[in-house]
Amino acid sequence: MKNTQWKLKDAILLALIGIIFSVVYFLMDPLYQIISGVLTTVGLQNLANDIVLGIWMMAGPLAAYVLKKPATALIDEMIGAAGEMFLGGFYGVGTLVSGLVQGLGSELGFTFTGYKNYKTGLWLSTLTGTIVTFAWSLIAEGYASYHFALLIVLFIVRYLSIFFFGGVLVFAIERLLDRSKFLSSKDEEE
Amino acid sequence: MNASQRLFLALLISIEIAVTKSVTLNLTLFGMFFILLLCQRIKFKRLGFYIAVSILPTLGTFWSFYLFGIGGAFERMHTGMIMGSRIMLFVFVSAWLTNSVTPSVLLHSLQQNLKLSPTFIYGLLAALNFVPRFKDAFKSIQASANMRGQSLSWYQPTIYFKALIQAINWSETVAMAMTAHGFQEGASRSSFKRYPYKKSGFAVIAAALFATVVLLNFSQY
Repeated sequence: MKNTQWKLKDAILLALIGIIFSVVYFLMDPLYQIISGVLTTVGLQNLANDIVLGIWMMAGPLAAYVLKKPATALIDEMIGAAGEMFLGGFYGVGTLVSGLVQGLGSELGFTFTGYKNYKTGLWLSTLTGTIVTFAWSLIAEGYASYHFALLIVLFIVRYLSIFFFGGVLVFAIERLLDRSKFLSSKDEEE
Repeated sequence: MNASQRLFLALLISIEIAVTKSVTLNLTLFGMFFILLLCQRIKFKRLGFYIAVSILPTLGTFWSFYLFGIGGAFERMHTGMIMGSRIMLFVFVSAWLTNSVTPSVLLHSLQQNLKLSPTFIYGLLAALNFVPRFKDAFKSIQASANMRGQSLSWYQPTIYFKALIQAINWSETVAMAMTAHGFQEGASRSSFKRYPYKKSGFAVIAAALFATVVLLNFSQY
């Protein structure tokens, strides 16, 4: 099934999903600050990063499931990041770069299924998302200078976070969408 | 520099900062963007806001790397300072970018410069108008749940589901309205305002990157 043509409606929906999540991401920034502030006092500020990272990785998988097109996860994560930046998020252009990395991570999960099975793709995307973002953290966020034991803990915490927010929570939203028959009935109309 | 070139510069610089480890470079760039912001005649209150939001994550990151890094005190100090100054710099680069371009100008110029599909870009432009509306939408979703004695928080799927339904409805309505006003999918469009690349912009990008590479080669710390 070829589903690569962008219709106006789809482009608007893609952007709207990105915007929903850019608002969520923006509102979550203070929460991240609080968690990291608390953990900073014991010097584990980077654990905060891994605990909440999953929240920042919800837009991509959800958009991919709703629109079922290649590259949606990547584009939507970028839109979410750009929206967060323009709303005045704390991390500025940093979010654009991490949006790119996170989007790429989620996107790979769907790519591995050949954009055919979006349910399997979702669970796969939690794993690829963790691996890609963790690799980026090792290269760019200075994780390489942590002790190996701490790295393992950080990796597991990050996977659990992405698994919960980018996997379980997104899956629950998708199930609600399926049960409402909102997406399928619209498709039949066309 | 036009809007796309500003975005490219911001992206290139942030990627460069992310993969290099030099306190000198970070601080020099920070000073540069701080001056650029001042040249944009930014309000003093806004500048204070940028400093206020960046100070806590900067210190937190520094502290975390200083305490839990590998190596001697000097090395950990170095890593901590790189990571801390990086966050401060990110905030100021994006402040420079968002103060000089609006999202709609950026999208128009990206469409013209990179020859992106107009349908796609106009879809994004149409969606931009919904940004303030989504805050209200979230509030009304929560209010209507409260009326039924439920409370919805950000970690519950229902709230996203309802927002998504709202988004799907809006996207169809807006697409229909645009079509009714004569928007054609995939048709070639002329543009009211042109945002061509500027040669001086490329010169500035090249000069900035060259200067950072030179600085990286000569700086020790």
